[in-house]
Amino acid sequence: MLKIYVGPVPASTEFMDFDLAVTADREVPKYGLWFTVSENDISFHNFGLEIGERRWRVPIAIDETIFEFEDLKIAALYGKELRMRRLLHKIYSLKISMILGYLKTDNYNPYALMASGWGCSQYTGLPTLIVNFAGDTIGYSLFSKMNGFSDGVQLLFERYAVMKASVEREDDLNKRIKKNKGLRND
Amino acid sequence: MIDKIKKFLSSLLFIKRTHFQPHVSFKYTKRNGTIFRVAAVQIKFQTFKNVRDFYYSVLKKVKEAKEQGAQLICFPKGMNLELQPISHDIMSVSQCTHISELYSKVFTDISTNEEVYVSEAQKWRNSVVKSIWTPDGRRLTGNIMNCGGRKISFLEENYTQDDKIELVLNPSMTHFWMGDYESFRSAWLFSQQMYVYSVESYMVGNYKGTQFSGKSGIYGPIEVTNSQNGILALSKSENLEDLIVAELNFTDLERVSNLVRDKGYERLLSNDKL
Repeated sequence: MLKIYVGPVPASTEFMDFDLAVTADREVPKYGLWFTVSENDISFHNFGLEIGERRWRVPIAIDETIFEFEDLKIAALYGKELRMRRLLHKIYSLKISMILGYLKTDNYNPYALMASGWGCSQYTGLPTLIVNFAGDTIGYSLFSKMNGFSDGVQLLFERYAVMKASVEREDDLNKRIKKNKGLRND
Repeated sequence: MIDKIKKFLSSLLFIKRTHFQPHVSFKYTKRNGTIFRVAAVQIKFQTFKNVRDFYYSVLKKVKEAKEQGAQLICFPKGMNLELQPISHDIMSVSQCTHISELYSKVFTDISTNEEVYVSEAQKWRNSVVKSIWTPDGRRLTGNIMNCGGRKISFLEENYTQDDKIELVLNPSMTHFWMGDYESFRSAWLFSQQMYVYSVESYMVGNYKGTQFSGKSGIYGPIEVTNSQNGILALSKSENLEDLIVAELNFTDLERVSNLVRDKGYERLLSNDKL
């Protein structure tokens, strides 16, 4: 489970112990792992230092969309990319743990969030975090794969929050289950 | 048991097949090539004792949809089960074939007489046979079908965005209905990701102790719907019979699809087959 903070930097002081933070602010603090999302690009910071960037344009290579830190592998997609089945299929095959998306809409539209974020999670099975620039408001959403216990909407549109995302892929999970079973059998 | 089946088969004799009409006029398509009216029929499962009753039940639905201007009417999956005097699990192959033929005759006859496209899906032991019956008496199956100049397919068929499908049909039958999010999971989501219109119709009611439910709907990409929700029509209930009709504008669809298409992504993903 990955504990993620989403929202403006000042509000993050309310919360303790998160593994990753996502904000639409331009300035990030000198601690932790932060993604900053803007209308033009996304950048990834560790202890205040920028360690990766993607501008919102058609990528020349698929690697441009991926940010890696230790075991974490996050794909950053924008707008129409979140609804491109072929691209999502490709992203999934690269052993991504989570998708981080940027979506600009004229105003708050939950259906647009469903089409881009929720749909992305249903197709890939991966958690999808969306930063939605909805007119003058910025909202954060988290979606996961729908199952018997959950409709897949973890967070629809919040100004700031801390949430948990299951970034362990099903194939890795199966391996771990097999491994544990083996140990128990030993 | 054999007498029961014989009696059932003999009830078909009342259906008078109309003469084959190869070039039947299709008034709605002629009126405006870019506008297409479609209907989704949500049916409550019932068992028919003879083909006559089944025929009139389907005909009634088709007429209702046609009164609202529908040119293509999508029926749910598994309507052939309504026609079977006994379960297909204990029927012989020849009995199954015969029932299938009778069932097909009903749809050929209705689509020809009423001059509409009718889609349905027959459910057999380990397979589902999806078809569209045309106003000129043909049965269309396969990946991509042409109806009134529009490229149509069924939801689970294999095709890519390059095939430029405009409408997908999803005749459904499910006992696993978790709530309204189920409505978004298949056809609605497909419309958003593939930029096509979709029609989904569900069988509801009880069949051998299994409760079927589902909300039928007619969907399109959110960008082509006035309310920006991707829903053109949606059934009111997941347990009751319903008929919904909506108008599809293919000019709008093409405009939105062209905005999304980008050669940069085509190059990026050119080596990947979905």
